[in-house]
Amino acid sequence: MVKSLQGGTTTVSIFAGSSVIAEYDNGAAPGSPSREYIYNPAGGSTTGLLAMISGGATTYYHQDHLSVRLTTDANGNILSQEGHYPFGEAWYESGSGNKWFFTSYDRDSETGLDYALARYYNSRTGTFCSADPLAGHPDDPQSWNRYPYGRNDPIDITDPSGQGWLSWLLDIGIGAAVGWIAPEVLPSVFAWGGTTSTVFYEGAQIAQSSATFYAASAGTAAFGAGVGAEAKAATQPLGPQMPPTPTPTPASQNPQQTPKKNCPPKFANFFKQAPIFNDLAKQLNTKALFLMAQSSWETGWLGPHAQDLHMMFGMTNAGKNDLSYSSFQASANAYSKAYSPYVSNTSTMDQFTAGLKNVPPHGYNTANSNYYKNITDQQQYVKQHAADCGVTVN
Amino acid sequence: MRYKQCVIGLFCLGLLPGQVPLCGKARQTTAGRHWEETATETIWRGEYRNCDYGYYVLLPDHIIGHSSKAPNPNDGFSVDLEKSDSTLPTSDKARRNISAWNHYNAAELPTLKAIADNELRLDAGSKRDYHILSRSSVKMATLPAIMVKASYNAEETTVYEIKIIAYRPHGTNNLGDMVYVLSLVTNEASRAEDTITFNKILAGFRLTALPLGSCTNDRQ
Repeated sequence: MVKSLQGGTTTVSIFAGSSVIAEYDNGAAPGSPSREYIYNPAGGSTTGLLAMISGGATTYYHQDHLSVRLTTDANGNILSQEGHYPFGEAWYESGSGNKWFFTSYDRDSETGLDYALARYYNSRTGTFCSADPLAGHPDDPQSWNRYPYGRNDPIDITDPSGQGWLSWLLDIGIGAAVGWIAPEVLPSVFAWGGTTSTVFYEGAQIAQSSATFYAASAGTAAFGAGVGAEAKAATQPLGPQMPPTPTPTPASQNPQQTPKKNCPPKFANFFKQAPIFNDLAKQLNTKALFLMAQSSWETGWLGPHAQDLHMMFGMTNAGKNDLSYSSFQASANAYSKAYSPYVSNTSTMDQFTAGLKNVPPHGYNTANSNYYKNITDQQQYVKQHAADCGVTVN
Repeated sequence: MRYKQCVIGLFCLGLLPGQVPLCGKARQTTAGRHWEETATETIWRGEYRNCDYGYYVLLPDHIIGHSSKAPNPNDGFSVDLEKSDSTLPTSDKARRNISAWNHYNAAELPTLKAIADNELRLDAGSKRDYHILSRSSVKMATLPAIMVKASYNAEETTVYEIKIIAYRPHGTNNLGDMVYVLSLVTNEASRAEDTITFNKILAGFRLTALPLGSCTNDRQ
């Protein structure tokens, strides 16, 4: 849910995923939305907007592969026509205004900026106003720049959520092609071929970095429809490299930060402890992001059991049952006391995990061979949920 | 009648809330400590127990489980198959070993398949010439699981690995989704022998109810 104030009108927008489905002006009753939006579920949020119902009148949207070009009423009369240059600057516009001007973004009539869910987009410069909350991938240099729109390829690539061009995959289900590239059948096919692992890896890699894949897979939307979640699972773990960042900043201090539109209580509870993570990071001269990644992995985002025990890092007592503390602060203090020699003065995740590996005798975690990679990957989920919860962890 | 049988069955399996298993193999063990802290680690005899993550693993008589010393997390244990009955600290690079570990599904992956894919992606990214030999659906205790057999090269030898990845969604008391992994790392010469030990440990994997508040890993 997003609340906005424009020209004296307060509008509350209700979202389903990245698509607005209803808007309420000036406190309209829940059963009487000012505008309702209808989508073609197979079309995704970019091209899937079909119609709007407002005051009993229906407006139909007609789009090309990028944006709305024409709106009509129920009798087929043209209400508006519009076009834009590749990066969204207005080319022509006639008739009653359509705020869905560029791709699926809601254009703010006062600032001219496009609301892209995770951040704002400026069509005049062709860049976002703030960095992509999703980090780039180390093997994909172009993704290191987190401000361009759609990898500077606005004709072929859309970014419905403002969270990296890859996010379009999730919306229209084409991403399932990624899930399809690395399903269970492949290992058996390639079992002795010597490339199974490569297939798994590159299956996700293609989705992450190749615009060629993007264009080629457009025709597979129907094939992949409905299983975008699998694509999300297959692609999310890539891109764990996070730039150094110290302190989460409340959204209220950052006007470009997304409001708390999708912050389940589980994550809200976790980020409530951000001040403790920040203090601990300062004390250890490390990054709050690293501590949050480790904590969320060890405690299931400070889940109910961790809440019961005020346990932030899964530390144990003799006999190996979890320790119990009087407060999360006490838990943080215990962590600092036990692990300060190993994780202090670390500015990269590699340094942080190297410190954990030095915990005697064989490291912080001796059973899970992928533990240090797990918490490295976990950074991106911390950042993603932090953005949803209005907390910045760069 | 069926209800009573069901309750008795759950009782024996240790799946009733707050209950510690009393039937079957677990009953053969004696009450009290089955773990010991050495100067550098924790060793387990008879069973490895993890009340926080709701499971335990029965260990064959000649097998010693090793895990990190408190206050490091209790996220699993390892057995060095080259000296499986030794209480000396395990090497972190034991070429033949069995490990079991647990974690929350903190990455919020939506399916067992996605969890397994992620695990294999990490393996593939860190192991040379990694090949998946087979992948199949199995059970770990009562949980659906995926078993992957793979090979890779380490120090000019071929290493064989079996990994069983199980997913426990929406645990009792809404404690969160959990993932359990049991793995065998062995070589060609010891593959058959080690697989037998691995299967014994797999057969000893048991679920327990998830805790409310503090819990203990001592036998009840």
